[in-house]
Amino acid sequence: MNLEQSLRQLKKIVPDEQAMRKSRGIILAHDPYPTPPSWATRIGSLIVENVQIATSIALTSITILLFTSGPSFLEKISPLKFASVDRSAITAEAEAVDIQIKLADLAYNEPERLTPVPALAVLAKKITAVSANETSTTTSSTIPEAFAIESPASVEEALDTLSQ
Amino acid sequence: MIDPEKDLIEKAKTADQTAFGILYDQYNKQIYRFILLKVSHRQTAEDITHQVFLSAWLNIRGYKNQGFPFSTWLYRIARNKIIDFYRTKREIVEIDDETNQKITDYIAIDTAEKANRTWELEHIKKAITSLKPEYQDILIMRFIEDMSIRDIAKIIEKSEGAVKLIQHRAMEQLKNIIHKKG
Repeated sequence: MNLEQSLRQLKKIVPDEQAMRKSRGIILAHDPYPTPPSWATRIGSLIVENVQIATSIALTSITILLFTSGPSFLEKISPLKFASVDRSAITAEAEAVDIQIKLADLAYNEPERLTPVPALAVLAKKITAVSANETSTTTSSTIPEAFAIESPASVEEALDTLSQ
Repeated sequence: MIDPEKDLIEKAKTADQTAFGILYDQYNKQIYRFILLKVSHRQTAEDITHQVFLSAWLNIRGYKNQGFPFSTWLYRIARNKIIDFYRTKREIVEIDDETNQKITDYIAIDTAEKANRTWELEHIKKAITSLKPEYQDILIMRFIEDMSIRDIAKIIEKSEGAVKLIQHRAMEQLKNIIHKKG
């Protein structure tokens, strides 16, 4: 077998005509040099791009200002002046409100606030009174004498008495 | 390079579809053969051939005449596309190899000589496929497409002496493979 001749036999390999015709059509349908856009189109697209960029920058700036300066900045730049946010009006309104404290209540509550001990003393008295009554009525139940205390002067004394 | 081809290339550079169409008709068969013998799959060879000519059409402006046939440029594109194919589609190729297509799937052989010829060509094709890619390239271009050593050297970017040496080695290896299998 002559190898070179045999190799030349492979030249009989041919592509599928239909596939090649289709491929040829697709290739030639491509534009090798796409037409560059006209000047008007370029300028138009440039403007649109710049407007988009400017808008995004402006929105970002506003957002940053809002976060950093807060309501005081809004108050300064806002063209609208709402009565609800008028500081002087709010102050006047606050001053006009009747906020008199009932001094009588204060006077009443003050001693108890300063000396909480009497409350315990009152409690101890009540317990003593109740136990005395029960002792007199029921003989089986015995109440320790410790409960029968004189009104202690302070919490410490009351607690000492109770522990005894 | 023959003058009509030069004219066609110059016209194609101005996006002349007819001119490029003629170049396509002139070279698509040999580029397809080259690719098919390297990938051993008809549809794949058609796809890569399509990519080669599409790439050539889209980049025709960058083509520079260096005194070589237009086909040398196409072969270089084809080699790169085949390398890309094997690099990215290795798994698919392995699957395709299992469904190896017969030589009769893409060669029209006369009925009278069909039996002997089919066996012989199948044998040679398999032997070529088992060679190194560089050996395959040189054997296909030199013995199937009858290209000159000079043009092949340009395509594979080696000296003419190196091409002759590789051609010799490739033929020896091909003979050995055929004798072993035969």
